[in-house]
Amino acid sequence: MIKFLADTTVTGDRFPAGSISNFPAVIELQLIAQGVAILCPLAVLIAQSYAGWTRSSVNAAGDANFVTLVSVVLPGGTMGPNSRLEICPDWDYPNSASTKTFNVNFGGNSVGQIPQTTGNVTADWILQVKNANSLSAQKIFNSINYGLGATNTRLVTAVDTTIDQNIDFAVKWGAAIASEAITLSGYSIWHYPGSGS
Amino acid sequence: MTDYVISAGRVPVYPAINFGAEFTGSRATFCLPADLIAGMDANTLAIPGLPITVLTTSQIKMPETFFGMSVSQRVNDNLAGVTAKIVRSHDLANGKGRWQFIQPTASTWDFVNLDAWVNTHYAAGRELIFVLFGTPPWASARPTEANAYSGVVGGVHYNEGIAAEPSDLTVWDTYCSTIATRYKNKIRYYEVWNEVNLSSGATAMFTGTNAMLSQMVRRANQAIKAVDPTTKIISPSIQGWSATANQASETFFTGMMSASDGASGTMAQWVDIIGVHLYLPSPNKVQDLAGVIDRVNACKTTSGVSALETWDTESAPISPDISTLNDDQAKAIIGRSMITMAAKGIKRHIYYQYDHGTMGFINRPQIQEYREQIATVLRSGRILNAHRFTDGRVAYATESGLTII
Repeated sequence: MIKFLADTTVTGDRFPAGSISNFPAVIELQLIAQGVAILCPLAVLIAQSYAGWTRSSVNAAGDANFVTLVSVVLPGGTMGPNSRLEICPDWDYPNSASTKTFNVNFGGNSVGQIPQTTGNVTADWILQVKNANSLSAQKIFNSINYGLGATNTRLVTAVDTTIDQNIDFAVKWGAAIASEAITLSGYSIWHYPGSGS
Repeated sequence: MTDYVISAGRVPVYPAINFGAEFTGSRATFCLPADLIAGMDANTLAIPGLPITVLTTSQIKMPETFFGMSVSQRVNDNLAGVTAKIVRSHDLANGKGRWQFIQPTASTWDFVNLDAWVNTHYAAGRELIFVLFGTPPWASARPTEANAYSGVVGGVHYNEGIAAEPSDLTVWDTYCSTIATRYKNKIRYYEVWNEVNLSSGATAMFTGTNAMLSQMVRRANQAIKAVDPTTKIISPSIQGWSATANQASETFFTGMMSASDGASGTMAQWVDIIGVHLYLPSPNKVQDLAGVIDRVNACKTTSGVSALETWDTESAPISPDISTLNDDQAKAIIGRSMITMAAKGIKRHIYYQYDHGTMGFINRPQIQEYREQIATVLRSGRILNAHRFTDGRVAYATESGLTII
């Protein structure tokens, strides 16, 4: 994706200055080298839905095991060596004494897991999974305190993004519980290209 | 068929398109497009927060008479571009369908415009609804009273008193009888008054009591059926319905229906058809329409008239009107409304108004074409069931698959 700095004709079509277009990489590199365009990475929506998925407890031991409500495939090759995934689930749950744990798995690795008991009934998350100068090494801010700092060390994963990977949204209770419901009301997954993408 | 077994915390497949799911114990139930075709089973219907409700599980096949249109100007009576098998007289141009202009004095009558309306539509094979409305000032119980049509221009007052009942109901009898006689075998349906629950101030349509209205309905019934007993009387139309119970429109409807007719009965026994105006709750909340119809039906049951057909004698996108909607917005509201009404048992739907300044689509060919498409599928009998999404979308299944509009 490039942004034109000057009115330019490309393969017979006229593109005004300021317009944003997508061309094969070889053409984009030529235009950038000519100084008529700059790289203009835009976020791409990978998956999104607000259908709503509810897990209802049955007051049995199984309530304490994670169940995946939604599983989204991140196509192999989507991410570049320094690109970023933004995973945004929206959770709804009861203000109750039970421990309710929500989890997001990226390629089988938990990249966000927060238990809730009393006090709150909704949580909208933003999780950032960043390839760190590699297609198979990620660094993840291991806290909810974006911009504020965290005492936790970074979460490091080694997921091969050149092949399809699952992004799973799962929930569980701390123990068997009667008549409670946890809902993933929706999710969005965005990809932000990075340098070298 | 939409149930999956949860094993090791996962189901064997995560459907790419689904409308919600519930995971409970070892069972996961997804609501899939296929469920909207085959019909949702109990587990699917029980999904918490499911954004879909059933409009009907039965085939929809509407007669051509379902599709109605009111038209203001006589030059537009050909209703080019639209299916319209039934028309309604309210708000003919320059008020020419109102009693005040048809009988401007006690001894003079003017049928010129009304004759043209009746004869044109009758010749076109359309059913006609005549609205008995608009008391002439000379006959009005309150001849200087303001109403929805009154005003003052250059010191001249106009249209005052027309929302009041006549001071002498024998002139009402004469008016009803005269119309029925002149248009015998042409006009088969008579609607007594218009939007009677607009009852005060600058929007008033009827300012009399429920008992007076009930008496007028009885007398209209008797006068008209004395001329032609095959005619049908449509109840005074009510507007402003809500999907929420016990709103003012409901109170008015049940109060009106149970009001004394001045003899030994109530209005309920003098009407053959229930007339309602199914304008959508603002701002054009088409997702509320099914609930609105449910409330109409509840009120019919309360009033003992549940066996009577319900006719939507007037509705359209409103606030905002169609003139401020783009084609896609208008098409969505009109299409969803028509399917919802058909699915929920409304027997006639009369759009207001083909050539209205802000509500008409005489000059909107894309909307006309889309309405024809919806009319075609509704008439075909191809719709096997219909569902409503909470965001207003409507889904219907045919043998060709699922369509969501």
